[in-house]
Amino acid sequence: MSDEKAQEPMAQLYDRFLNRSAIGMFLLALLFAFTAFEQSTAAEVPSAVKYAEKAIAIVIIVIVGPVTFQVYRRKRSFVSTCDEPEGFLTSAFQKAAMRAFTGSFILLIVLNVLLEKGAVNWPAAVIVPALLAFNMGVASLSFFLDNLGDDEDDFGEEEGA
Amino acid sequence: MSKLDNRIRVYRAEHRMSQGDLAAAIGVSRKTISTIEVGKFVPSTVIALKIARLFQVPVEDIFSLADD
Repeated sequence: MSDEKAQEPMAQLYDRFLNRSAIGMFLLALLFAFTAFEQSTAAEVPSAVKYAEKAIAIVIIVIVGPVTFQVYRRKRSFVSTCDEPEGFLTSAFQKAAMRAFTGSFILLIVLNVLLEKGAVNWPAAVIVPALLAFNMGVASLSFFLDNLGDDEDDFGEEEGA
Repeated sequence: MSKLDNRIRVYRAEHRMSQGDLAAAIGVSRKTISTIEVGKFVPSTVIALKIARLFQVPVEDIFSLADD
């Protein structure tokens, strides 16, 4: 076990976990978009797309898996001090989830109206992955946009002074 | 909506603390401290009290409403 990793404050680790989760969600949105595309087209899907899907799935596991395990292990191994401090990224993640839910809900209502009127004729095999792609895409992009901006530690060089 | 002003940066400078030092001292991430300082994130009461306790001043000395 690396001492540096063991000494990483829980709050920093949790922020890293949230950042990686958002990246994972964005990649998952791409995967669902690919799936919706595959289901919507009658033509044979190029093998490159299938390889891309597998590659994205592996990247998601590599990006999110280890940090998820670290958070799980830290929470189990000792009492974390990170339970109450609702940090900025936790708040950003919650807002992103709320926006994604709201957007998906509105989209579902619109789709329902369009389906009832016969304006669109998409099967569930297309609509479900497309909605999942929309939901995760909105959540991850909203999270990334909230995190844009200046982020430097002004007295960082003076540490230990 | 009222804006929350803060003097965290001033107190950090007085105590010669980096954002990372302050974050580690009160158990939050550095990003949380930096976003509180610029007014992008309104901290919880717990975080505000922890900051005040660390600097050994009343919480009102650090946080105030902009229209006060």
